[in-house]
Amino acid sequence: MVFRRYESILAECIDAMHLGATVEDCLERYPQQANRLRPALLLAERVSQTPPAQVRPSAQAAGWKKIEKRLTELQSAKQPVMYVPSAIRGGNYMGWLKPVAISAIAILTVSAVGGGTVLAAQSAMPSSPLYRVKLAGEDVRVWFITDDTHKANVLLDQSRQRMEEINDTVKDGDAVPENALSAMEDRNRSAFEILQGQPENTELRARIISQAAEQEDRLLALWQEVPIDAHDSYAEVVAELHNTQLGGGTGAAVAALQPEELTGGILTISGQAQNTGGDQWQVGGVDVRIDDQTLNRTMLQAGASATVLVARSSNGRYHALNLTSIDVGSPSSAFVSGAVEEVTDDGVRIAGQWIPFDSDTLQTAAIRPGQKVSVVVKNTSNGVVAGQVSPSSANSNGPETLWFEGTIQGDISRATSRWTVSGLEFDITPSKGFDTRAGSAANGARVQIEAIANGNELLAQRVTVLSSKAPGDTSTIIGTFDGYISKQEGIWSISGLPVTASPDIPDEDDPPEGALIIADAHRQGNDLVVSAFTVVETPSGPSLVQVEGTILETHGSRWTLEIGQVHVPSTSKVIGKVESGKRVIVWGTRGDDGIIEGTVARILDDTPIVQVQSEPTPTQVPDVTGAAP
Amino acid sequence: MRAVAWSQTLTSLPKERKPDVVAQQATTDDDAVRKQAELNTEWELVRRAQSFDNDAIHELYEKYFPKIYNYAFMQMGDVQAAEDLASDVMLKMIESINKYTFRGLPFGAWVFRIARNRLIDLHRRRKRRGEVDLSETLSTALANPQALAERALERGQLQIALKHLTEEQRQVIVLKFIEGFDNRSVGRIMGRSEGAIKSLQHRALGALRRIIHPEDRY
Repeated sequence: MVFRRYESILAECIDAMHLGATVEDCLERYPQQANRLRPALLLAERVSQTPPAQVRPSAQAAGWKKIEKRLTELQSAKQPVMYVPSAIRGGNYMGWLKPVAISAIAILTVSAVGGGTVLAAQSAMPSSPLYRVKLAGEDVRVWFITDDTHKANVLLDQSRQRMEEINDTVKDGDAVPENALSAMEDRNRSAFEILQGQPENTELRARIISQAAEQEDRLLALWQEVPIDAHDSYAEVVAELHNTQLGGGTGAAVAALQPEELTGGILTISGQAQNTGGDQWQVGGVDVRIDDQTLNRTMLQAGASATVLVARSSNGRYHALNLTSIDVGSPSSAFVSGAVEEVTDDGVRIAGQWIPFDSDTLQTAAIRPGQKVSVVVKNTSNGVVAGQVSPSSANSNGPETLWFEGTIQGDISRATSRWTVSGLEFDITPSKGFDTRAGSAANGARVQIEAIANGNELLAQRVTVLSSKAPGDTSTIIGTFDGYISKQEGIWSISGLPVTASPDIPDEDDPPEGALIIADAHRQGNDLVVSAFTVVETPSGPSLVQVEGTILETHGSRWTLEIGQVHVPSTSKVIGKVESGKRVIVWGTRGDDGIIEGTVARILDDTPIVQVQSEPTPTQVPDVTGAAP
Repeated sequence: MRAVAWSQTLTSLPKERKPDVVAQQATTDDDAVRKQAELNTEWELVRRAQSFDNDAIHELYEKYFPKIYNYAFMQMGDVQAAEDLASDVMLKMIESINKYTFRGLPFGAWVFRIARNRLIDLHRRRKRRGEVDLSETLSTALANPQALAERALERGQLQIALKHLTEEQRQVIVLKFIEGFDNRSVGRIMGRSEGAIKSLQHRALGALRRIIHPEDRY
């Protein structure tokens, strides 16, 4: 007898029912699976019999009116704007005629719409109907330029303008506009072609390479804002910019990055790099290919700590695009989340802390006072600036963020999309970064995973290795107490994660619904049991700011992090041993002196993971219970 | 008659036959011819629409607008939003129709792929703007999905239960069991293999069953 998987039998039965078979037909066919099949097939049948939602006739008619209008535009676009000689239309033409014909069409288009419209179009954004007129006007300008170097520079200026339009569109909360992206690509390509005719033009080459690097960085940072059906064309533009740099400015790299290598997403991995053979490396325990397509790869030495920008292919393999830094243990980024007190074009103030913007600051939505935002703060040569500003998940009714600390179980070095951490399975593919500076991500390592719960799945957003060897198999959960899944059975939900409260926690001590808590937990069979918790923030209490960073130095109760000082008084709750060089999460409010006053602090590391400049001896250091010594 | 044909086929076939062959045997010759004729008719319609033939486009619009509306409404629960999304998808369909190439798959699969991508983009955009995720409103409408009727599922009840599935499970349930696409088409819409869709439908039915009947093990 041939063994058939139940799943295969179920699929066959469902297909047969689509073709008219009944549930009973299937059960007769597979009597041994009947008990299992019956409820599934009955459910499938009931679902398929669900009456469809009825559309309002007025809505359908209104929609058709829009289609008719668009159809008229499309039908008239099929008619030639002007007579184009068949010598050009048919493709049987002398090559030099084509740009003349195209530019002539552009001139006629501009003339047809009128000078006033052209003027109005100059500030048009990609979503405006005048945007095409704007681009046509730029084409006209370029056509009249006879000097090739000047033409290339004008094209690069226009390309830069497209990038700014893309930035501004995303800043308003919209997706990356395909028309601006496509126009940027066209202009870049035209400039590259000019350079190919002038290989000795080092100044032009330098500009092309530098602008390609800026644009690639920006487009990679915007990856999440790209509509899914535009991913392929987006990946092509990014690959072309990357290959331009590899090829020294001409776009013709010997080893070219392929767009499909970008389809799985982009992330950064920070950690120690080890060569495992040829192009294969491990960065923080994660297999990464670093080869001729990796920019700056010659800087990498085995054993060095590095931050690598990596593309995930559709089969889950990691390929390094760029080696972005080589540094031995200095702090990279910090994070600040909280309500906006003030926002200008120059920066944002949260809990009294002013975080300036620079030209690279990425805003993924319009920001206004009172809104909760998350800011990635980075160190630059000009000091601390905002790298990225995004609306916080706390603004919407969507899933809350969950931080889960536990021990990695199993081998995760190979291309795998799922990690098991203290019995919980995480989908790693959405994550934007792996920080492995504290140790390799490997079986037995302790990690903190920032995730969101989606139905039954946990989607990782960031992964931080806390140590390469977990001290025990306890877990820590930081998240929002959603309420009870079953009060009687003591089953809680923390940011969508079901946990069991220990019977030692009296009911009256349960956290208030909506409170942010830090819970100690351990696995007991199939259950994750919470044995103790700390309330960080309650819905009725003051709204706190959350700062994640590295303790650079301590002066008593004043800690200096990347974003500045925080005050952690003896009355605050401190979990872990304070020491410079360790990472910390601090929750607090704005103090009277404008400095963040911590109420709860969680030290993430057991040992310092970064080297700091000085190590002043603290006169008073809060102990783990938060009481003064 | 079709069912009788299947059971007759079952008794005559040895059990060692591969499952695909058995499923195919369940299709009568009439079904195969009818299905092929439907595909050919639709392809002719699409070809005329690609030349911007008004009547052909109107026919496609009348066919797919209600389907896309139902698909969107099942997941968003908001009439206005579903109408807007259906209208957007129809516009995109017209604007991109020249990119469609017949490869033996229904034109509908291509249209639904546009719809799915639009839905995903809409959710992401609303999240970025801090707006309420429309699919979340369903959960407040009825907090206890287990209070669903034992027999036929009403649309509202199904919508609430769907809310508690993952996005992929939700897609499979709606595309496979409500819209009636086969595994291959569902795979093309979702960008997954046929094998993955078979697994997904198994898990999705199981999850749906646990929501509706938590006391049962599936």
